Amino acid sequence: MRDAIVEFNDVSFIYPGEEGKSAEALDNINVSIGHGEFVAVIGRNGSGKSTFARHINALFKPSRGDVMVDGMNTKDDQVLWAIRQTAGMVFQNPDNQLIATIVEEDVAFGPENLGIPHDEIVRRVHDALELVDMAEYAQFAPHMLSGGQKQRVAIAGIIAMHPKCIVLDEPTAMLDPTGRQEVMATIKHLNEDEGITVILITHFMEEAVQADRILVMDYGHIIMDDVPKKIFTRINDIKQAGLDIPAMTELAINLRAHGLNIPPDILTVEEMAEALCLL
Amino acid sequence: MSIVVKHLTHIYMQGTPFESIAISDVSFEISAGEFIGLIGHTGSGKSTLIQHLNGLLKPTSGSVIIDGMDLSDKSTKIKDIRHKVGLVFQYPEQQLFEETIYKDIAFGPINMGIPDQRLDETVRHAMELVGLDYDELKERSPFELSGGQRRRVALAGVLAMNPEILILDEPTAGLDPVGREALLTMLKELQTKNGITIIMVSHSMEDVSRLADRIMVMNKGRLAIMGKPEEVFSEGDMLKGMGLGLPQITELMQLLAKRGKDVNISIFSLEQAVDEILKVWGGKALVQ
Repeated sequence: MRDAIVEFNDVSFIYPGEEGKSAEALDNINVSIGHGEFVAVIGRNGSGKSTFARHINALFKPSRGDVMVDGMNTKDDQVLWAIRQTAGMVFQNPDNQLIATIVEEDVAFGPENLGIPHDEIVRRVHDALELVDMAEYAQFAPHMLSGGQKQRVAIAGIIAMHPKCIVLDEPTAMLDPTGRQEVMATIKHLNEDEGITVILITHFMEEAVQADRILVMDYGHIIMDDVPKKIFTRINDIKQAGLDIPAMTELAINLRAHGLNIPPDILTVEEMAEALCLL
Repeated sequence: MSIVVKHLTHIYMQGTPFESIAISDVSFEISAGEFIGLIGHTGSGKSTLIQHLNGLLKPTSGSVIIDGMDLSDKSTKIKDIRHKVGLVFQYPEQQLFEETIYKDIAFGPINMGIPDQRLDETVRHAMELVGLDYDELKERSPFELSGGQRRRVALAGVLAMNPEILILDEPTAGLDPVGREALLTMLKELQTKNGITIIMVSHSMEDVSRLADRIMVMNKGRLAIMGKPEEVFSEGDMLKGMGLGLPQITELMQLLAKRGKDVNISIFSLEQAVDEILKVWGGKALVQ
């Protein structure tokens, strides 16, 4: 077991003003995410995914329990900025996150606020844009970019802060298929090659299956916590939680029901083709 | 109510240094009652195209003819066209503004001049079409509802104007799987039960393949291909070249074909795939 970068200990959260009126948005969550993990969080609208994500960089603080980020408690205001530098957050709508008139200035915004010397900022901005494959757009105005490119610039803005962990809340929801692939490739690169912990909130099962581990949320609880292959063979539980089964897993299960001898935990088109060609 | 588009070209900011051709020589016809899936990469001209269909944009050249009326014709009242062609933008729930759901849905019909005594009935009918309970919800604020329900309210506001053609720009964006499924089922029923012509812009090949009678693919301002789903999906390499995906089932079939299996490469539904694989693999692969 790797050291934990994010730890939820008995965390409950209820929105201010909702006390006693509605159910808790998070209900006694206990989970530990290790350094360098790639974790996807899935669940229907209102299941608590975004509330969970916003606890990781102290946008929300628990009503009960503690959230620890790299050993720091999010309730401790003294370490608020250290927490936000450790765990950066990317949101759904790229247009709401870019504020400067030129890409490189936007990426520099975070490090400038950290009080980092100029030369170091220039280096960081350049490196961050390289990492997300947007270096050639450094002088562009953000509105000239596609949705996927804007989202990669938003990610670069986080990377320039040198975080250990990135939390992305449905970063591809507003993108077209190409933009979605670009962002997913960037996320995987950051995780696999740079060792950054990634926590990805998503509605797309084909994105979730690329993670090392999936948390399934429903009614403020984590109802499943396992590797993708194990999660999606629990068809009834997944459907109960209002989620989809990946198309290939569903096909595999149907073919097995007809007596074909293929594994039940197939997730991707390539795996399915491989299994069929082995028969 | 048919749609005929002939040699439609649209150039933004013509005659300036920022001039760009959004649509170039696009022609097609859509019959009354069809369900059309409109697909294309960002910047392919989809949004520009749909804004021509209810007169929000005027052609630089070419013509758009709705139900026999040419939109460029001076005698055509654009207002009448907008009552017949309902346009639902992306994230339409962001356009809700009234205090109650009733008032929000009634806004369009009131502007159309519907008599007061018919207003209740119109709102009730529109809410029924989108599966919202009139008596329970009419006095509630739209902002108390979930995202999926708010989207239904916005859609009801357009349906309350009784359009014959409904154009939706990515109606399921941001919805979870259950919300998406419910909305798509509802759209299909609007077509099959109420006879409304539907044009749905979507990035999801899965959704489009399941619902659409025909698919149109836009690429770089041109209509690249228009046909039944199986015709369009058999052009897998062309679609990939345009940055578009295939339904996963179709992708599997095409991958199997590349590996020398004799399978039908235009299949896109789970049921078809099960039948095809059982047929091709036959009894030899069975466990027993």
